[in-house]
Amino acid sequence: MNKIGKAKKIANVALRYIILILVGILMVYPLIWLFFSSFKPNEEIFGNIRLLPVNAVWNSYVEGWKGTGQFTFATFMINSFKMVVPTVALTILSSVVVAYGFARFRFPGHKILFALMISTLMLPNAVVVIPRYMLYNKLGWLDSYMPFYMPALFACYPFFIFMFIQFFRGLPKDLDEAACIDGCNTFEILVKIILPLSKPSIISATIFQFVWTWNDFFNSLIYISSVSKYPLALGLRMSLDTADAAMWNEIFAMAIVSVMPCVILFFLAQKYFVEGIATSGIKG
Amino acid sequence: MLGRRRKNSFNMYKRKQWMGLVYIMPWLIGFLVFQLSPLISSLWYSFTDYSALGEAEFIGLENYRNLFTIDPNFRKSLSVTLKYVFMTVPAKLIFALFIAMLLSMKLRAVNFFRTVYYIPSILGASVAIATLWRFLFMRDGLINDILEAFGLNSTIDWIGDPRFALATISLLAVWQFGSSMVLFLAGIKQIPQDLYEAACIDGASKVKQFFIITIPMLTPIVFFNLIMQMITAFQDFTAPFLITSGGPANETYLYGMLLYDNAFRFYKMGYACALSWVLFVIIIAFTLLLFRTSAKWVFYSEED
Amino acid sequence: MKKNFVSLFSILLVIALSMATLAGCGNAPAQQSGQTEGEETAKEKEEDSQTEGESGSGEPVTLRFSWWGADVRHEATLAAIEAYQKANPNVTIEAEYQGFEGYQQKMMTQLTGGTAPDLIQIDNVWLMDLCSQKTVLFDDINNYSDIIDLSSFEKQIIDSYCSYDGKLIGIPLGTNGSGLMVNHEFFEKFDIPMDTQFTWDSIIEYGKKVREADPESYLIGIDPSAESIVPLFWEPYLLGETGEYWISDDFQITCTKEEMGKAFSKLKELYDSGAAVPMGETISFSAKMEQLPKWVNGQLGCIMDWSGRLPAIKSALGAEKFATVNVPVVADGKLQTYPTKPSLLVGINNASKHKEEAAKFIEWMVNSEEAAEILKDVRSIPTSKTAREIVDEKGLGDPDVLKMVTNTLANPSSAPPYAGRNAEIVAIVLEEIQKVVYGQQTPEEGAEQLTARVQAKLDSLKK
Repeated sequence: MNKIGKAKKIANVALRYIILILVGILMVYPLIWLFFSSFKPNEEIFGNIRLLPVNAVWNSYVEGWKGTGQFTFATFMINSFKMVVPTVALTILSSVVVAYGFARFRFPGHKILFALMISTLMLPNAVVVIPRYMLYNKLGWLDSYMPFYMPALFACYPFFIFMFIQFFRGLPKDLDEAACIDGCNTFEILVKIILPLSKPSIISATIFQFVWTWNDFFNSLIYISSVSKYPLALGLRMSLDTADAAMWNEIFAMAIVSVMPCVILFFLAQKYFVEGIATSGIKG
Repeated sequence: MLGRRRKNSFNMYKRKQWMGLVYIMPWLIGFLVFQLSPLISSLWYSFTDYSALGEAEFIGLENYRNLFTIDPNFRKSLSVTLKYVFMTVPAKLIFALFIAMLLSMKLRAVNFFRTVYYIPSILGASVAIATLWRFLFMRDGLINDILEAFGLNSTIDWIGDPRFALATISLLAVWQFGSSMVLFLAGIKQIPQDLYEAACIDGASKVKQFFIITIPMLTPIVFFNLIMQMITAFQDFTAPFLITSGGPANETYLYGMLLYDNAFRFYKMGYACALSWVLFVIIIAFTLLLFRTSAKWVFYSEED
Repeated sequence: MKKNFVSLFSILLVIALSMATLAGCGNAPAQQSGQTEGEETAKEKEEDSQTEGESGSGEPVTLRFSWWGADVRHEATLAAIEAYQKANPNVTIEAEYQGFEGYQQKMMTQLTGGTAPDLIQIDNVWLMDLCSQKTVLFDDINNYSDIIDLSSFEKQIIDSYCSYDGKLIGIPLGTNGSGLMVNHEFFEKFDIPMDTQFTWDSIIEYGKKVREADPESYLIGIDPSAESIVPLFWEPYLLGETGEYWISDDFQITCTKEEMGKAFSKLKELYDSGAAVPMGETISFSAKMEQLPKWVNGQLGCIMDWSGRLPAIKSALGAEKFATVNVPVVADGKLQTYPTKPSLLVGINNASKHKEEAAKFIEWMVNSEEAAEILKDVRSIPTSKTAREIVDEKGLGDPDVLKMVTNTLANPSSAPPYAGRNAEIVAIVLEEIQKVVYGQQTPEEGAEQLTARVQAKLDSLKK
């Protein structure tokens, strides 16, 4: 009986691994292909679907990094960090505070304001781009990263607010109340009780906002016009024109380099998902 | 199980409700300063012949009339988009939940797997994606090669054939299920362990625990994912923008693409605004529907 | 752990706030900081301007110039700017370059916001849409004919491709010809002559021969993008058939539904007979036909496209196998000419504060020997005769591009009416073409649909 149970368990684990690996290959194969293709000349990239290069090109990373000569990818990489890091920090900060307000308080107009907030997500970006551009122009923010920072500071990302609301509502209120009896004010409850419990959601929001802003092409395109301020999303597309023969290995090489910060961030951050939250521990 | 947490109606928040307004102040300011005026402008433009490059002239309901009566692409795009939403959103969520369940277990190398599963989402709308997708789904592409290996002689142009094009680009959206997965993972980790311990003592099996604890406790996140994925899917145009430009025969002409074309290629910003307000109403309708039903299936632990 | 997290959060807060303030200080007067940079460079320039250039006098001026392209064009244009600044130390030119993706959207947003650069590269197909606006966006370059020597351009090109309503909107930087980009090994293998003028019928016949000999190969690839199939098949076919463009300058459809049906049928026959690579296979290769595996692997005889795309198509195949021939014409048609257009134009933003300086730069770019040597054929073979002579003489251009452009210009089509270049009309044509080729409607139904939809659009344009 025991043996059968053990065998069953092993089979179970094995099955999980098989599924994970098979689906994993599906997920990551494209990236592997991309990686090998960054060493192939154009005719090998487009001529066949073989994975490994035959006549490998080794300088694609070095050549790609140089860009067009005026600025290297180092500039674009630094720009991306300059643009993304404050945006992410400000987004998390403001969204957490606003979400707490929405999640725990039933102030007058709560429902209407919440509906207004969510509804701003529903109007396609294409039609608000121009009025917003005019506004930022008046404020003198064009060709800087302010159009990214300021909306983040003022919680203009309803996605994250709504997300935190959902997570906060998943936290039992009796914890708050216990703290209240201990004499905490609401801000202290937010910082001392809710935030530590919300680590998984804060980490996920950080990852999302990082990746999304990092990859954001349309907004960077519109707001940034000096090449010296281009983030990676623009730098990567800078050499793509239908007319000329692009060096695809270089483009792929830079595509890979440019996603690496996101991959590394995710890899480092995800251990926080593993760390279970011991609610009982805090209660005690 | 959830009822266990029922408490007396003591609620300190009730006494300080106005404090909520203080907390939401940043958003309120942001909304009034950055979001409201573009919103109103776009509504106003939808009643004009605004080209984005000149002055706007009021034309009443003409844009809306044209859209419902003349423009064949409006109906086509809307039906394509509805199909797209109904294909991608459930598929993405189910897949994400399934993988998140697997990944939340104690397994070796689980960190590595999580990263691997998130990679497609990091790639986003990268320049390489279009090339990649073509290479997988073209007639001499990898998918057909694999089918051939299984004895199926396929000469289907997965992107170029009007029958399959939409499904193929939907696959791209499903493939990028990472953010839903991350949210599920975070949600699963947030479920208090004592619930499981109690269930264990009650003698509930793992499967039963999944249905009586995990699923109900995850419903706020499921709900969030559902709403957000739906809103995004309605507006999405990454795939047609990168790969198909709407073809073949408009089978992948998503509403977002139609909007973009009208706004930035055809110089019909006023019309694009009308299109987007119609979409706005449609999305609102779906969202309200979901919020209405949510009372029946979404559980919040905060509720006393 | 709880404590750690609280402190982590406060650190995050501090970082965020300080970075935002820092960035705020650095950026708030964004234009100012840009100017300071500009001034610095201007100062440097002044220092080494002791030699004094031709127009070395004058106030320091900063011009912004936006264009799209790939690396080759970026590098050459940057070098040209460098050279110009050296000769004109009072001028600083800020280069705002990018890939093609999103260029049009950005340009439009900037024009609306009044923040557009002084010099803007545009595509001639945008001309009508840009110029039929209520606001004047581009200045009439005829006003600067004392600065820019227009005599180096064919009057016909200036008048019919670059002007709107008598105003010269942009100076053409290069000329596009059209043709078949041929894999001559393929043609030899299947015994197809290279020295004839193909007609669409002969293409179909040869195409069938190829399919009989090798079911894996196709004779011709037609780029299914709106920028290719419409101006290179649809328009020229009807022009050949009827002797005039299918849309007239006064916003009327000039051809009959029967004639349209014929054009649809011929295109469908091209695909159905197997002469052309099936549309399903090419649709995801719109405007990137060179990436088609069949082309790279020599299983495709030729690709029909603009000469502007020749370098990409040629390099994907390998120069040694590459050759060009003229585009097919309509058998027994009334006209047998080849489509041409300026590849790119550069216009002067009407809101610019330094229009004359901008004009001076254009003049230098299109008419000086120095610029011609630097810019070579990065915007196709120069349209300006002065520049063209230098490029020809010194062999600076790609010989195949040169040949294609020369052959096209030996027998060019007249300029198409602007109405036919309206982006929405082109999109409608493409859509109806696809429906016909995919068999979702007959050529007759296609003609019916197309006439109705295009006429409706023309009526709204007329207003």
